[in-house]
Amino acid sequence: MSTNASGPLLRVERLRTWFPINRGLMRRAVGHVQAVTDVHLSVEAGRTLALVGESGCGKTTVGRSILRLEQAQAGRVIFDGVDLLELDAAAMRPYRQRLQIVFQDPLASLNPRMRVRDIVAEGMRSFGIGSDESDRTDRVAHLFERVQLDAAQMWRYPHEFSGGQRQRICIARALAVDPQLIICDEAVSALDVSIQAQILNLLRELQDELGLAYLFITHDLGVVRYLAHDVAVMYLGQIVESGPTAQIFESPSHPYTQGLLQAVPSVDPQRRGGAPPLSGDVPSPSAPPGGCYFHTRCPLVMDRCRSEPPPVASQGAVSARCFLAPGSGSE
Amino acid sequence: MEAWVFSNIVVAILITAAVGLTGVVLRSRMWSNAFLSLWRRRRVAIIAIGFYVLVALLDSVSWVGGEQFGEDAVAKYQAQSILDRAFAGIRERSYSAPLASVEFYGGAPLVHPGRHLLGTDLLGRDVLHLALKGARVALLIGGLTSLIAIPLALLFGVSAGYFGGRIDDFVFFIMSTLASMPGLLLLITLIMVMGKSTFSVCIALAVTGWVGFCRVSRGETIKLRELEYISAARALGVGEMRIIFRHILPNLAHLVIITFVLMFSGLVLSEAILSWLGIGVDGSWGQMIDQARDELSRDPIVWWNISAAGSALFGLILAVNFVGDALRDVMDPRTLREGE
Repeated sequence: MSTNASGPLLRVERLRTWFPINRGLMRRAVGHVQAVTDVHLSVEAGRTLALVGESGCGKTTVGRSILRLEQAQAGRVIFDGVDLLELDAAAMRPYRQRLQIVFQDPLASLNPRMRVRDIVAEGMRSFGIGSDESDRTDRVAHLFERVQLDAAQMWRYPHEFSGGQRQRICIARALAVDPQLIICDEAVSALDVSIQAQILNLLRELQDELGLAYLFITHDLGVVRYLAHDVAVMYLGQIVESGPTAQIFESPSHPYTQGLLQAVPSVDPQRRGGAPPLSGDVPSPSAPPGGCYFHTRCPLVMDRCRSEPPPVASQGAVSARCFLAPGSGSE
Repeated sequence: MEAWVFSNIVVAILITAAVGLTGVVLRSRMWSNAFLSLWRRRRVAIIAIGFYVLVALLDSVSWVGGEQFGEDAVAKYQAQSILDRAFAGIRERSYSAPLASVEFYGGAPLVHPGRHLLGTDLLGRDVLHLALKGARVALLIGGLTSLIAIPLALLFGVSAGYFGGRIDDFVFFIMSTLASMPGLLLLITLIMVMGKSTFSVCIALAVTGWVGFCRVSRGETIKLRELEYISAARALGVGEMRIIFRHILPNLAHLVIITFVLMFSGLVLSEAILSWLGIGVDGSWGQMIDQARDELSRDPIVWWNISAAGSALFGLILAVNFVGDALRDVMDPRTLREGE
């Protein structure tokens, strides 16, 4: 399993996933929920990219589209030099082994009628890893140790575990097929803060030991700062700003990113106050506003934002979709 | 193969299956806990159902010959079940009241005075014997029909729910078409076309009865399909068939059991209605009720016939419904999970 030396492990270009709204007898599409409109991402091998945004901005759909759990309409998902969206189901299969996912709700992601040993071994069985069932049992025991679970518990059912343990089982299931990239879809959001920290530490250890890359989908900026090398901020189906974590947190260029960062409660009294955080709701993704998608909520809105979509402006490693961003040439 | 040989084989298979199933239930803590809490809630109803099942089994094991039939040439060379043998040779000439020593009309002395707990019918047959024999027919109708209807409903419901699109449209079209026809007319038509037999009555009841469960299983499959463990299985490259058999069907199992129990009593009642219309199964309680109709207009009334059949039917339906109702609570996946 060699990794293409040139370029990132995963590159997503102009991804678009719209869900048709069908009405009437003939199931004619009368409109679309524009969950993902224009998303560019890249994840380097062994590194973590965090995809952040409010609920309903399309983050989860991006993850599911990459794995082809949802059908994307347009764009490219290039994994190790191959566009996954062009593959048929059979050609996609080997890539499923290299790309895995961990979901938000650990209970809903484990079949209540299966023993956890069978849940973790299912992927091995699917890809023919391990010589026979007893060999797979040994491998499951090894994976349990790796995610710090008691291997003796592998014959139990999912409901007999706590939330944090269940998420470890989900991680073990993803690791079972030896992937290179794991998409963590809100993987710690449903857990208590103390458990969150344990899972995040586990994910970091696994990254160091196995050289895993993560696409970490979250709305929690604290998690982003702790775990991610790079950040992509998403708003209404578009990436509005992306760049290295430190730089984005230090000097956000897009007004939406600024608003998000200000909305994080700070323990430092010196940093309280400042510009008002974001107000209002995200517009409906079935009828996004014209011009810049953010203009309905932007504190710095100009006339031109209402009619003209801003281009992506890049300066250094940071790029932002705003007329006011450095490098857009329109200040 | 003679019908009675086949019936004996079926009984053997059923007993083996029951023993095997008991083993499975005892080994799985989930199922044995479910059964224990059901037993705690509905002890009497479960014992009642057990009694009906026992009677039906006793009436299903049969062989030819035997001393107790003596000179009765017809009975001697026909297969007789254990139940028939227990009631052998106590036939009267005509009606007699429960526990009577003389005939109801005329007052001639009975051959076996005081032995007919529930009296005898027009042909002098023991009513208790007939009522007990009805249990086998009722369980056969309920069981065989469910065995046809539930797999059919699962096949259509799960494939419609899982694959959606055109398959869903197709299944929904069939369901709506069947649902738009009056059930009783469809039943009569089907039985007329296929001819009157136990099997064709079962098929007719299955064809009209599968739609309800099909709708339920389709809805449940749509709900399950969106769950994250199905997505996880897809992301692991697990095939569609394996997803259906490993992830969807086991999570529908509780619905199957609940539906089976609730469907069962409805089917037994439907058969009674069909018998009343003259197209039911021979020897059923419905047929007994149908034949006893005229006796209600006699003077004095011959009441024990219809009340025996009616009570036997009522007892089974009530017991099954009681158990079905409790089963719905016990088998709820949430309580199952906590109780394990």
